Amino acid sequence: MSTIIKAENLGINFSISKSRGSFKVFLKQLFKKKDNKMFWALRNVSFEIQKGEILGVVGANGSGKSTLLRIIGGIYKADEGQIIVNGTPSALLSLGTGFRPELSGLENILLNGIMLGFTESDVRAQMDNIIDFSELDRFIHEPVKNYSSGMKARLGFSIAAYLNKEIMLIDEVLGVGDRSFKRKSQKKMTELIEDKSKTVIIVSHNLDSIREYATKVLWIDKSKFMMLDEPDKVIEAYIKTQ
Amino acid sequence: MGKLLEEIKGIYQKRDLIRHLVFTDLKTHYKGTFLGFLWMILDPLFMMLVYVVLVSVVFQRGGPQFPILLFSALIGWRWFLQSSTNSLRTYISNGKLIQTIDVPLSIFPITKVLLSMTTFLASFVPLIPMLFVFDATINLNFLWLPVLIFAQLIFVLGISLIFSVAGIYFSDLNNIMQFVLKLWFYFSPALYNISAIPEKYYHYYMVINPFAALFESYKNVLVYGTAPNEYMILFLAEGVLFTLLGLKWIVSSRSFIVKNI
Repeated sequence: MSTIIKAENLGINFSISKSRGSFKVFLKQLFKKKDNKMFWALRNVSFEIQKGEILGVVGANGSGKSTLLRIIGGIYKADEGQIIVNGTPSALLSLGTGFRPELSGLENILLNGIMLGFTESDVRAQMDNIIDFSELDRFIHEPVKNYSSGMKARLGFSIAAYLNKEIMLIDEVLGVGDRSFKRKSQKKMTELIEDKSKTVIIVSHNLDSIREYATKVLWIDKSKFMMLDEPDKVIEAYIKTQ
Repeated sequence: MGKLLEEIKGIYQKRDLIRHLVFTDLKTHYKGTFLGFLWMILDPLFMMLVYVVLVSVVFQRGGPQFPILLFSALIGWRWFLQSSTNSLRTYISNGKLIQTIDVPLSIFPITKVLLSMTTFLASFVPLIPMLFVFDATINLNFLWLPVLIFAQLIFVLGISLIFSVAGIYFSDLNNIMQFVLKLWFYFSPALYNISAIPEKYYHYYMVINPFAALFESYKNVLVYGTAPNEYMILFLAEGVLFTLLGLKWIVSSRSFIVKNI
């Protein structure tokens, strides 16, 4: 087995006072003045994931789960500690991010795929699968602004289901749409998650699905590392504090 | 320095995305208008017409070649104006995307530069017949044109990269720039001839205002059939400097930008 992600004492801080659009902030940065009004969104978090493993991340709202996903995805750089990611992560963060409302569903599939780091021919090769799965039929040629929110979610999910890389970051999206599509998308998700060539990190409040999928669970609370162990043990301990 | 090279490498790797973003922006910009892409040609023509009415008709100045001289400078100005003002808010308007996928931030201002460059290039469709109508001197000096366009690309890129980060730190910049850029245009030799500047101030004027060299060069190459203005060297050097500074600023502010948009 090869290590895909190795995080050691990961920490990231955000400033409370700092906000964009302020001249004062600019001057402070220019003179490298240390900002003392910091809070750590994540601190002292360590874990290791092997290829094919599924890491579930649990914790109350605002505990730093999504921040952790963003660090793994390369969007935030850690301020403390280090993280090694062997492979390309693809974020399934919020489905439909980057959709252009004036463009058709078809054009949005292409643009979204390229944003996710695929080449145009990669996307075109999966185009029929994506359109079929989304069940949008002729609506695929309509501008996305005319879609219902369910249709948008279906399109977003279908793109994510067929265009993903070896490391999948899943933030609360295990099934979307109406009843029948929800069942179908959950089935597809299970298929993807259980694919041994993929390494998966799932953030969810749904403890049942975490228990079902995860091979290992990380619990963080108020930005701090709490526990990393077998799913049953961690979830049991986590439930007790709720 | 290593981070700077990494950013440049990242931009190159994301060239497909840049191309698609430009194409998408172009398509969505004119979608829903009756005349569509024709506006790319009509917009600068109408703007020129407004100034021609003002200068030639109201003030009775400018001379017979005024429309073509103005147009040669105006299209370059519009390229700069659109890129730089659109770059001010580019990270904020792409905030959700930036917090979802890992891309070099500079691709967003670069997209804006290329988008307005496309509009600039489209302006040559009306420009070429106008050169004949207004009796421009066309000779081998016309071959300087690609060099001028390249120099302007570098300069516009530099300013747009810098503005993209500056817009994050100073929210008021958008309002201030509307005013400053208008003044800058009047300060540049587009509505008037460079000979209006007194001889003894010429050198200072050319050094202070990079657009003076650019506008003069466009007029020389397109209309008068002469070589570009010698201050273009300075213009190009400033462009390279601004581009490097802009990239460096983006790289060093990346963490702040991503956390605070």
